[in-house]
Amino acid sequence: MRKLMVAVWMMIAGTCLAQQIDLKALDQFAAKAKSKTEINMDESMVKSAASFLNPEKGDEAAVKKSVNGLKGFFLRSYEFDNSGIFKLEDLKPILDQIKGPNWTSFLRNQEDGEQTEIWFHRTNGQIDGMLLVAAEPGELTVINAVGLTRLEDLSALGEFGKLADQSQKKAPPKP
Amino acid sequence: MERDLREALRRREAPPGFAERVLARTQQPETRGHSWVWLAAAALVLLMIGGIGVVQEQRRQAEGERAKQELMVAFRITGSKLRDVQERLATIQQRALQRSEQ
Repeated sequence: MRKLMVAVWMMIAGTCLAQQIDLKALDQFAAKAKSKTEINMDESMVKSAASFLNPEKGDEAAVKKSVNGLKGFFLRSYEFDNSGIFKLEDLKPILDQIKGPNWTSFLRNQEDGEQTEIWFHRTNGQIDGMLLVAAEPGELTVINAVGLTRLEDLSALGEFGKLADQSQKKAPPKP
Repeated sequence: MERDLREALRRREAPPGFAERVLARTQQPETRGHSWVWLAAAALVLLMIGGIGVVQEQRRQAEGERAKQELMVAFRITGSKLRDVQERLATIQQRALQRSEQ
């Protein structure tokens, strides 16, 4: 019985950790960036932040509604003076982490030196995590939302239609 | 020995002014002074506990506010990126549509 409980806990912990992507590979770009935003929020920080959101203020109210279930938010956004600072291959250590069976690609687009990818982590078919990678010349953004169930929750601060609707549809086959 | 005992246990009058001296000692302000010291010490401890509580609450508020600002920034950037993605998708779809029409 005890072994079973340990196994169950390990599975739960493993699932939570699997949704979180190690973004250390991007640290090398921080020093080269013209401007950078780095956000690391674990579940306790998200909850603490949510408790300070004012439900009567427009923007804050929208975010407050959206953070339910969010277990972590990790963001790296870098802007560079010129376009040769990073190559798309530099994103490999990030994308290698989503090769597991629970990650499914929602959107992949690569053209003109730009790469956009949105991946969802699913547990028992339900979305519970997201990774967004947006790379274009001179700009790189990686967002990892752990515990996210609906893409539209992340667009709380703006209009966001079709893409959010599509994310609720059945998982597309893994490429 | 009997005589010594009798001598030892013989009733003696208290020295003059003994009762007054005892009463005066009981009313000396020293005792009251002690209680004030304790009261002051207790008040100081209470003030310190209250002060620590206030500082902790201020720190919690500051951390919460900072976390809130970070969360708002995170949502703004994410919302903006998702809109970019949507716009890019729309462009791709439009391009594909134009190609199919040609």
